[in-house]
Amino acid sequence: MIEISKIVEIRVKQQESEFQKINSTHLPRGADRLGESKRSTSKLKSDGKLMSLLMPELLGISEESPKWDERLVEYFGSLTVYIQNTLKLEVGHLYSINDPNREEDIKLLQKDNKLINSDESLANYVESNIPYERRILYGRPINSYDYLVHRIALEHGHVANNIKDVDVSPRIRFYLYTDEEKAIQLKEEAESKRNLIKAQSIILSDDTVLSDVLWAYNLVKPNGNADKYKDDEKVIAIDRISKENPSWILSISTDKNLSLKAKIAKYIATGILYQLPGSDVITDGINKDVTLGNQMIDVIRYFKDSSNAQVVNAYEMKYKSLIGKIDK
Amino acid sequence: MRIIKQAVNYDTDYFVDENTLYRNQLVNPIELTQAITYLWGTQQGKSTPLLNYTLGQNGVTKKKPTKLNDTRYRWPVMGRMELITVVDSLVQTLTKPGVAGTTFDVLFRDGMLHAYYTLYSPSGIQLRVNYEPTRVGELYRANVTIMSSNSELYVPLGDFISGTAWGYGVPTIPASKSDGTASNRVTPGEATNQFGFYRFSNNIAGNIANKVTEIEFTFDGAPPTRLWMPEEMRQFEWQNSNMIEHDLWKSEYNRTADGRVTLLDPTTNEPVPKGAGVFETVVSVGNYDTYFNLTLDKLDGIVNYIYDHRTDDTPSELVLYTGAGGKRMFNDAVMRDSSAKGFFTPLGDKFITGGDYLRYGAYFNQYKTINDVLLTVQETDYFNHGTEAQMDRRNGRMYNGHPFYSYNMAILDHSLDSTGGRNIEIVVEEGREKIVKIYEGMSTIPAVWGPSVSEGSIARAATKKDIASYEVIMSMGINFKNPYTSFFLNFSAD
Repeated sequence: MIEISKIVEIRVKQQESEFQKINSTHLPRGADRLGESKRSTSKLKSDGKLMSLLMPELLGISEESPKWDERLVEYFGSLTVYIQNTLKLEVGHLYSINDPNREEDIKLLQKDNKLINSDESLANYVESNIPYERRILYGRPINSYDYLVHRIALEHGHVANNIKDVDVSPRIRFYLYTDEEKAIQLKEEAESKRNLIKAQSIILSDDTVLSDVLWAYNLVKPNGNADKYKDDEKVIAIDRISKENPSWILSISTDKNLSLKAKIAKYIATGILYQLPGSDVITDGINKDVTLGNQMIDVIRYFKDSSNAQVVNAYEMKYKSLIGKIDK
Repeated sequence: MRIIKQAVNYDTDYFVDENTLYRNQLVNPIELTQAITYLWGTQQGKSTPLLNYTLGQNGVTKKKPTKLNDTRYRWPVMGRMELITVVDSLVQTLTKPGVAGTTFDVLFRDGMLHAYYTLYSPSGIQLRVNYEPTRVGELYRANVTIMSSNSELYVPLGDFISGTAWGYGVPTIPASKSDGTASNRVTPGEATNQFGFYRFSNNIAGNIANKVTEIEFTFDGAPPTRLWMPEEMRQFEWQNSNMIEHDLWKSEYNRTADGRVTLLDPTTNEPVPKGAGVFETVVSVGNYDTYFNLTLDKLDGIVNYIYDHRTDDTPSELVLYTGAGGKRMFNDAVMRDSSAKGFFTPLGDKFITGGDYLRYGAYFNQYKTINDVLLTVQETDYFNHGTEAQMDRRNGRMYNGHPFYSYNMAILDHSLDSTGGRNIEIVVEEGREKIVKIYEGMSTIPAVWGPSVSEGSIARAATKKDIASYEVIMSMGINFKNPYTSFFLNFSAD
């Protein structure tokens, strides 16, 4: 017999309300409960083969018992899974080529694939080629209760099947989390950290780029006069921005319009241009009815448009005359 | 028979006047009968259980706001005395911690342990805390030894999974030269909720106060009338109380931890406070579960859990509120259980009665648990016809002829608390419980609004327009002093 273990976690979606936050010390939350749902019960009970392979062990009676249907209703109806933040489930299978309850299905499998002639080859074939929901036809669940809870969770409207779907519906209270998902998440995190470090080195290796980045960040969030920063302060500022807005740092490090964005930020700081608070809308500093663009890409286009050269030059002349007046 | 008019019209015009009656054909001849056929009944049923139960028991607390617009209130709560400590991790890398009487260190998340205390690991190993644990950041490091003289014994590594609860017990010492230790205590804390405000207005114009319709309206305890305004006000009050009831169940607390109310009225820029209603309060402490086929085991589990939070002898008043769907599920659960246990056949004559023509049908609406708790189903129209149920009906969320919402069950603890007050109370602002005023113009004030403000041969008006309005401001919220003894069981179709 070959055991292929697989651990899945049911995790509680962290969605503390303000009422919970304010009372969390004195009215602490107990374990969350996952009970029956119409969809999960109907789906699982409609799979007769699944019921006959899984439920005799959990109900303690055989499918031939006159009480079978009644006990199934009672079992599903009474089931409540208590989850204190997270619950680990063993949802793997035990494979035996001679499993008497799976003889017919294994023979059908062997008919199509002559290489299945041992417990190991059966396990390898099923794990690589058969969808998880159908593996029970060829392998006994290591832990029948955990397996059932997992199958219920997969069909339950209150459970997201992976962390990405957790906000799909306000009804979702839990999500499933596997080792594979953990590995993917770790890989993605490592990749983004790697890219961030690369971006930071590009920025920090050139003083002009560094200064431009600090100026340009003013377009996203007020960051003050970047020229007043001392060298060490600039490094710390880049580290802070990387934590606040890592995706912005990643994109700005390779942005071909960086110097232009820095210039626009400087014009805003001197009142030559005006940025509508909380938006990308940029207008003329004096005549706010003259909009240069509703989005940064439009503003960049405005500056690059040769038909606006006269206005752009006028802005530059004005900036040069005001350069000493930026708040120090 | 012919249909002489559309039976139901919803009119949402700002002012109600004669035109409303004409538009809705209430002043046209009615050929069949002057008595109205209420397609949904008179809707005067038990649709406001919370308002009825709390106000009916005088379960109202009046609070004076501490600051302008701050509607928060607090009440003292005392937690449970437990002999539990929560493990964080094993300090050393060991495969058999404690084997052969060796000492080792464990990190705990709380400071419940003291020198010489006995420790019980989840797998049943008994250990002794050798010294007063030391604080390491947020954690507490305890040096421990297995108490048993069996040198083979060790603590399984599974006992050290972060978050696992261990038990602690009596401090044990040698016969002489021992030093003192310390003890733990639970101190009271304060829980917080807040109430909100409601505003209702009924606007009239012209001489609607004296307009009669072709239909006769009847009201409980009052002679029939053809005046429209009594019916208008009946509907006004019905809507208000049903909207309030719904809010008391579903309202969500909206003040952040730093005291800001996130919802602002854009016209006045004033905060709009909302308190936690039944659902949020009960769910916030985790007292929530789902079901599709109700079983007595499920109900037992809930009642056991509720009573796990009541170790005193205060009389209990648990009420199981549900709708027609839940009532049916409750009956089915008892029927199935009695059938499985073979009780059903001897009870046959209770369910099949009559002579030549038989009657089949008798139903359960009470269940007494093993710990002597009598659960009585209280069917309420809030679950059958409240806002959620109406949405379910319109959106096709129906099961066996009932809206999904009517299958939901709320077990609410209306018991008296140790001070004689009710566990579930309506909380209002003192002096602004309910303020009703008439904004009077040239429109005639209907008798059903009460006496006109202005008197004398030349009356005074607040506006020169031919209108008037009936204005209501209310402050209200609902509060559970102990939310752990109530429960929400949600019918889950998803």
